[in-house]
Amino acid sequence: MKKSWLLVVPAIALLASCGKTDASVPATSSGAGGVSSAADSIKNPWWKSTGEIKKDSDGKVVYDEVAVNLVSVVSGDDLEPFKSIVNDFNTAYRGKININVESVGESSFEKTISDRVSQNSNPPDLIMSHQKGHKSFADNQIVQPFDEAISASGIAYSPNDIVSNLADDSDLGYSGHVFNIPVDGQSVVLLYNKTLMNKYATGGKLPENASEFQAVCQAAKTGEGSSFIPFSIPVSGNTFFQRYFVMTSLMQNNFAPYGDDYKVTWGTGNNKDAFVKGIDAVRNLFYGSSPVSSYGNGTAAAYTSFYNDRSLFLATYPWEVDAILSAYGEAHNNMSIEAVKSQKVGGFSTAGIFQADPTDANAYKIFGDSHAFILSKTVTDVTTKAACLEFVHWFINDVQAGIDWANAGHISASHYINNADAYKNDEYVKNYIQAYYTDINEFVTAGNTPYYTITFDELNSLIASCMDKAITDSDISSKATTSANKVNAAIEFINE
Amino acid sequence: MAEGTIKEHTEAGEILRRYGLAVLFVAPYLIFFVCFTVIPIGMGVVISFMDYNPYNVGAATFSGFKNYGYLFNPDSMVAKLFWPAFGKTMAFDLCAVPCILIIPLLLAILINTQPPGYKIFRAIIYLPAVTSITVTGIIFSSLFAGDESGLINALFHTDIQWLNEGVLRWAVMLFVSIWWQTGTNFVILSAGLRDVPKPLYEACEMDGGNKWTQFFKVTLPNIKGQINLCLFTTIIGYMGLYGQPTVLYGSDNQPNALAPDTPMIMIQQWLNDPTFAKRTGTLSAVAVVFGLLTMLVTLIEKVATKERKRGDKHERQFRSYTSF
Repeated sequence: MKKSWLLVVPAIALLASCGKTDASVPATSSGAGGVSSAADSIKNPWWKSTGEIKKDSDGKVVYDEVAVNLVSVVSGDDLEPFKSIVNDFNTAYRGKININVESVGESSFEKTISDRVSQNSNPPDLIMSHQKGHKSFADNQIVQPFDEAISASGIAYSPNDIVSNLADDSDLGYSGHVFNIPVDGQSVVLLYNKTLMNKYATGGKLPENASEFQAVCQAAKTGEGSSFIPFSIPVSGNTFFQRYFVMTSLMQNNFAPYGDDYKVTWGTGNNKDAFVKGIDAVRNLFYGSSPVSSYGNGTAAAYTSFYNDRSLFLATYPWEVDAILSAYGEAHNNMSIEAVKSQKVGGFSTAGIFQADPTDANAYKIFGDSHAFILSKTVTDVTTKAACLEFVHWFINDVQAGIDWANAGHISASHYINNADAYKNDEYVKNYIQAYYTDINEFVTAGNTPYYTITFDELNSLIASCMDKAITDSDISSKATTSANKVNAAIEFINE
Repeated sequence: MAEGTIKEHTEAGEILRRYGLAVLFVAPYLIFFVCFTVIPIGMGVVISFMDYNPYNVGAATFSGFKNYGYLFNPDSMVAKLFWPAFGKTMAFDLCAVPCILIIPLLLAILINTQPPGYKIFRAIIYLPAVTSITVTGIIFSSLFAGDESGLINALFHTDIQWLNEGVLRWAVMLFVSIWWQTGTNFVILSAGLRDVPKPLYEACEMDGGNKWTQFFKVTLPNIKGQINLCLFTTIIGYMGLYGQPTVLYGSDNQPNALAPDTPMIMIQQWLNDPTFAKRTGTLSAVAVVFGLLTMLVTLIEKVATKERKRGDKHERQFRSYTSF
């Protein structure tokens, strides 16, 4: 009896400790074709096509109640505007195409979608998520290119329709294919207090480079007293601080997150110097000889300071701007949002504020994320593929959709929309979106790396560890080297 | 021949009569247990011997003990992540498990004396155990946040980065674990204390035993079963530490697959990241080794707490009594 109990104990322990884990290993459908490595062309396509496209006398595709399931990573304040845009499309294509939107949170997006597609269990047809995760989708044979939809439907789409710095990643490393259709960009944006800016900026002119930015902050600090924080930024509880804000500083200082082989060189050569410079540019805001910001503030403290006119600048997410403007109005005798926009709060950019040399080629870079559409491999019917492309094509060519999406905080990546007068003349686009992202051609993302999670999670941890007040440049270099070695070891291990 | 068939049928009927009902009652659980526990564990063990990508099953190949080799090669990335995470978990368990046993025991003894309002106190002590770890995380994140929204920092006008600093964060996790888990063990130990025969205390008192003697000679031996149960479940639970570090982190230590806090977090992070899909075989090996280590620790616990005398003491006494 005793001996058998001794066997039962470890058995229960084994079940308790690893049963859940092993149960989570996904079962999958039968094997697909050969996997091509990143630089290879696709020798054995893993997707299929069935059916034929019907066209009318004008050569346009005939859609008959085609249902498309779209899964989007959009899940915050911008979800409702996005659904509204999709509803506009559904109205315009009533009886032809109907898009159903489902939102999946960012933290589990790639795993959820990969499992659902690979197991063919309620898979989406069309996927809208951050472009940085799409390389992994392609390498794991979760998605297929739009090539066939483009050629068979006759829908005029070319990567040239999109700003080149985003469209360059369309092939996801599979030369000659169009996997990815980027539609927008978003990063951390700045708001400024118009009254204080008029008071302290030379001639009331907005700063255009790092030295002018520092000058106006210092003037405001001197003029407004010791409790005034010229530059308010929520750090605690906000991932955008590392993900966008500090990354923008690094990019403006010529930092390269990874090389052609996806390995990282954060602690060596020019890249190490760029990393240290980029980090120091941010640290100077908090710990310089005359700091202009306070490190460690949470959202409430940072926003309240701005609402009470105790900050000149506020860094935030673009999709939170409406809520901020509304709260600012409430704090000022219930001013309307329109009045706040016209008299009190303006939009400003992180472009140029971290690079001491304004003539540097990267001085005005902004680092952020780009939403892109991609087609699930489970879509086999060629008309459904065309319907997916039809929606994406509409999204990047319908000016009103572009305006609505910009009002939700996302600058369009489409040349057509960016050049449309209605878009350019929209009040929010003109005064805010174009102020946040001064030049969409300077907008950069994580690009195509299949190791973006390990690379950027480690980079974010490294950045956070470099924000301690007592850290020296030597410490930063040393930490960068250690982190880089970890990432490179992980990449080697995955590829072993 | 016919006689043999009848005999076989009779035996089959006898077996069916004897065990049929039992099998019928056990079947629902057994089916789920086999389908969702035994088979997945079996698959996990098989996969641990393969190069396996769940998104490309057709390319899976047998790789022998290669995946296990990574765990025992000090230069391997897997070993560099797994063993420190395992070490941190063990260190945490060494602090947490005694606390989560002793504190409920003391509270149970106190409540067992039935002071005024003891029923209310009993409910209050158990209350945290009914909250989920997510809710617990929200409560304690708010308390220990490092910025001005942190209630403790706001109360004492301090600027302590509770959830960012390594040791402080683990101390917060220990505090949270005690708060959260005390109620569960408290209920088990309270039930044990109520069942201790009162005459034993009286006998001890008559023999000159004071309160300490009563505690060590009467109370503890009589709730040894409950203590062992609490020890066993707490050790297993805290070997698989996952919830607390997942919900309690600051802005400086966001989840990072290259710096996992515990083996369970390492396993979950890798599992949830398609980047590591090619390494599912290695991940399974990590899970199997971790399961074996958990078995080993619980075995040590069972051996250390087993009775020095033979466990069938009362059975032997009864036999000797009835043999007259």
